[in-house]
Amino acid sequence: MSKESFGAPGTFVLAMIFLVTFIVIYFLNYKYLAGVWELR
Amino acid sequence: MSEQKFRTCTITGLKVHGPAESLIKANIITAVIFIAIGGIAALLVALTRWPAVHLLPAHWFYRILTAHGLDMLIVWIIFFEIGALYLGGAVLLNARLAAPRVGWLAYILMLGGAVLTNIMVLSGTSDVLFTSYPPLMAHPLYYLGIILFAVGALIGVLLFFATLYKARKEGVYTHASFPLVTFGFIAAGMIAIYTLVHGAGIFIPTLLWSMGLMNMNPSAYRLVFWALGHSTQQINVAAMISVWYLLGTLTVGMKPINEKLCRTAFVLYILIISVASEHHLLVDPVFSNAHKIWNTGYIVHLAVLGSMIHALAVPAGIEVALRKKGYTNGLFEWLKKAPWGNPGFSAMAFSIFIFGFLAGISGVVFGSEAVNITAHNTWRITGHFHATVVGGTTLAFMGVTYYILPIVFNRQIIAKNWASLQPWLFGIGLILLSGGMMSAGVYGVPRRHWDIVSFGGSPFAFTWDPTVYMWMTVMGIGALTAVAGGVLYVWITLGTAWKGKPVA
Amino acid sequence: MSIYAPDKVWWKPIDREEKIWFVLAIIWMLVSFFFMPLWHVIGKQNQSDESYRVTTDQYAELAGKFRDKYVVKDEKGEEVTINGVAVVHPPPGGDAYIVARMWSWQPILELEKGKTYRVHISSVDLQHGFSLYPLNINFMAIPGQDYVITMTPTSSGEFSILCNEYCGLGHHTMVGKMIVKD
Ligand code: HEM
Ligand SMILES: [Cu+2]
Ligand SMILES: [Cu+2]
Repeated sequence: MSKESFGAPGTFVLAMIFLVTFIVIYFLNYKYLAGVWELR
Repeated sequence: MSEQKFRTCTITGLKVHGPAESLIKANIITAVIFIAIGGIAALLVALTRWPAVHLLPAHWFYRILTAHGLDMLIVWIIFFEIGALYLGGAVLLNARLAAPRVGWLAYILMLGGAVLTNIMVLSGTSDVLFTSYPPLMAHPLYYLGIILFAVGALIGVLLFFATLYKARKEGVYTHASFPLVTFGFIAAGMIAIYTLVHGAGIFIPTLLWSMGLMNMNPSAYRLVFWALGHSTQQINVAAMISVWYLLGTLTVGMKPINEKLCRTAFVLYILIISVASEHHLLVDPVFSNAHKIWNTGYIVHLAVLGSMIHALAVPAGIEVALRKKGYTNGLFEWLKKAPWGNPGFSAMAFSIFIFGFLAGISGVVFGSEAVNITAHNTWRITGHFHATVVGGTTLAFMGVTYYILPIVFNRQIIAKNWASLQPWLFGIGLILLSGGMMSAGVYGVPRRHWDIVSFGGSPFAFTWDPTVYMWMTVMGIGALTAVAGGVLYVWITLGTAWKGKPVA
Repeated sequence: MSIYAPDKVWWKPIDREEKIWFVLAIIWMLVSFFFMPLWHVIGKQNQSDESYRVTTDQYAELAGKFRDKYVVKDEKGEEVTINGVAVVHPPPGGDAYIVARMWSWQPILELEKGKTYRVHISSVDLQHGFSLYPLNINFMAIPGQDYVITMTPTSSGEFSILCNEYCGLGHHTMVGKMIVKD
């Protein structure tokens, strides 16, 4: 590992998994919303 | 300042101030007694909502649900937080508590208020659920109890700040910056002050209204109530994250990888969240769309940014610390070899996971202006906040208790093996509970509802999508598992405080 | 360590990975935020911006007039009811009033699929929660505010309205109905 580097590659991967989960769930919910009656 | 009032902790080398120690003990033990009461209520409520069991009759269900919400969300959490503030203000700085007598005054007000409110609820005069939305009215003493509790808590928080001030002024703590954990508690304390002021702002008029001295506008009540109700949740988040940093240090010797970012994130909490309480009101009349977007969109996202910073910082700090111990293979050896048998560690790990994946994501999503139409007052919401305040905050507090017992109570944990199991039971139970609730909520299962099967015999009763019953069962199994974890926690904590062997 | 005083110089620069995370987090927060106003443009399900202060008496009167005018009658000229609740057929494009009271939703609206209605929701006593099954559409019914939601049913059949805000001991019995014809 390079000197003084971040040193937590595992966490970085976990964080990316988190972000992707977040984005997927976020848009799934808009898709679910789009299925209900039209509302204004 | 008399020296003999201090004891040196053999584990951390911290100096523990005697009167601070007594107050921390009193607040923590009281908190645990209330989580026991709230836990019995949780079991009864969960077994009633589980259609296969449907335990309580309707009026007892709503009554016990009122008690569950109050005793857990308010009494347990805030008593524990006051204890934690004294710990962060006095013990972590090797300082004395500024005015122990004031601390006891705060304690007595809080206890008196909590007991009064519980009596009013259980006597059946105040079946209003913890939100007490007017025109639904409770007995005036119910509101008085809450006001006493809030005033007591406010005094406790002010005492924490007085303690920090004294530590500086008396030259006990001379470093330019406070430790990160204390810094986090300062954020929690600052949020607590303006929250509790909002609390007075809503409960004093409500008390007057219940005595017939005033009118009450239901929409205005909702606005001010949630200014209180939502910011208290931010106290819980700030306190929980401080506890993560504390547990990270105590369990694996973690160092915050970047204090600058961590502190900035806490500052975001202080500045932002007080205004962003309207995601509770997204499907209310009165507010304009632009206002809703501004309040829940722009502002909340800044607070979430704070959480995203911690979300990386805490696990990264843990990983760095574990890698230093030699677990450097591959990406995840550190995670596999982490001290999973240490209840402080497993509680923290579950708390981080549940708060991030279940609570955080669902919170942002359900709080989105339009999506809220498909979430408001359904069980999606109940599932969301059991992930935040139970899986997140409560579980973190449980974990830190295993350190408070030796450090402050000076006792060794009894039944270490059961203690190792405890966070696992509570954490897994909670994932099932909260997951079951959120999934049933997708079909529109309402919160606070006694009978989703026959609707108390209503002629308009209808049948749910069968999947709903499956999710209700998942919820029920989760509830039983979590309650088992809760029983272990209460037994180990009280048992250790009572009968544990002295540490040294 | 988190519980001890920070090092003298803790104001150190941010690591590269942290920077990446920070930037990604900011971008995602911005996307998530701007999606809300954007949904007002591209989405068809949005919050209503329309509500009026009314007294509960005024609301009950408005709703009563609406009911009397559009109530459905059979061949004999008698009002059609289901379980004692009147069925009302509002004109497409027009206003329709739903009254929440302990513990019923009245009347039963009969709407036409694809037509747009201004549905008024309010309570004449406590706070109630309007929740339409199986669609999972939820709005608050608060006494003192006439909440106008412009709805276009895009599916037909029978729908249930349940109450999802606690409104006293009969809360769980508070179920209503809505009918959408093709
Ligand atoms: C073993 C642990 C727990 C279980 C099994 C449990 C279960 C439940 C259930 C089944 C409900 C009823 C939901 C409804 O009918 O809508 C509920 C409500 C609630 N719970 Fe818990 N809970 C637990 C712990 C906690 C804790 C620790 C807190 C707070 C720190 C908490 C806060 C609440 C609140 C605020 C409500 C809402 C009450 C209301 O709608 O008025 N719970 N819980
Ligand atoms: Cu109702
Ligand atoms: Cu209700």
